[in-house]
Amino acid sequence: MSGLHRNLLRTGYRRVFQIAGVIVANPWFPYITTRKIYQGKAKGFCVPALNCYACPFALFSCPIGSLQHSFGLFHRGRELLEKALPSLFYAGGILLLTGMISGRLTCGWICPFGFLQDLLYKIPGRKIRIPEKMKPLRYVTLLVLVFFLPLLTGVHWFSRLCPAGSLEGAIPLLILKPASGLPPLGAFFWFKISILAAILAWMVFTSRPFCRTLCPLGALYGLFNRISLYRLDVLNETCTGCGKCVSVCPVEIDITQDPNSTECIRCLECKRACPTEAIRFGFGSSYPRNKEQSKESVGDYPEN
Amino acid sequence: MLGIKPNRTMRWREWIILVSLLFILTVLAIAALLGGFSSILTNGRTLCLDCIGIF
Repeated sequence: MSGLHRNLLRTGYRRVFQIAGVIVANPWFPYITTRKIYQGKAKGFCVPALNCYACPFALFSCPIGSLQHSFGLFHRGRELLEKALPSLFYAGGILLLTGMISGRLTCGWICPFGFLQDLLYKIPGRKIRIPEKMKPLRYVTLLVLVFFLPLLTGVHWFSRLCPAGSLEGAIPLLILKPASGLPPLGAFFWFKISILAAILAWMVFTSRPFCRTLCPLGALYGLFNRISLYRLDVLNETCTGCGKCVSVCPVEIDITQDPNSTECIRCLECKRACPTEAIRFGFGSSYPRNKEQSKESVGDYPEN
Repeated sequence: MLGIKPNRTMRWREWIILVSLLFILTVLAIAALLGGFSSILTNGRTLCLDCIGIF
């Protein structure tokens, strides 16, 4: 493990990265005086995390919103080669690239909505585990609301229901109304706010509920956890099985059984908790996963 | 890398990932040149308010 990585872990820089993630994705403070949503060229780039581009302070586009836009272009059936395919390749390419490099690392370190979930879960009180049956729901969200419905109807269905969109886009726009004005609020708006309220309440009682059951971006990135360049591994010889990693895991997985689980948000809380430094991470090769392999390459372990 | 010599299987895995990454980067660059960037930019710019559920 490099000195930089060790320092990042020791001082708990994850919160710093999460705060930076909020600010870097939403730095358009001139909106407060101009009341005009940013429409410059930076909106052509997607942030690698769930961040609403309707937020009055947003500088970049949302990757999931952009993906839905691409599928919507296919629905309209116009300019397939000029617009729809390049748009899909571009938005999809950014997601694939991020996934191939780091898997769900962005969920744990820079996602603003993930940060909010971490904060709300700190409110003391009774905590509830997520039933296993609810976890695959995020794939349903991805397939139905992000892929198929936009493709069939041309409407950004996930964006319309997205609680991050309500929190970062709709509510700030209601408080700081844009110069162009707002249309009257309808029943759908209150339906959407109800979803947000329910999920916010859930965040107090359950750790990262949105990430684990509903987030389509997390579902997509999670598929890359097993093959991404950035990887976690557990050194079997050093692990004592004390269970501290499991007790601190925000997504309640046993990393010793599956270090690159599709649910792992790679927050590295397990690494911080491990008393024997059995959990390793980095770009590139894995540590040996069984004793036979360990014996073959035991002389290659770094001394730290 | 983490400081150990990868075995042959690990090397292959990394090669496959790196080639895939290069492929994605190429596709991304071509798509951006062909109008993907401007399409996403237009979507980001003209994002209508009904998209965030205010109607």
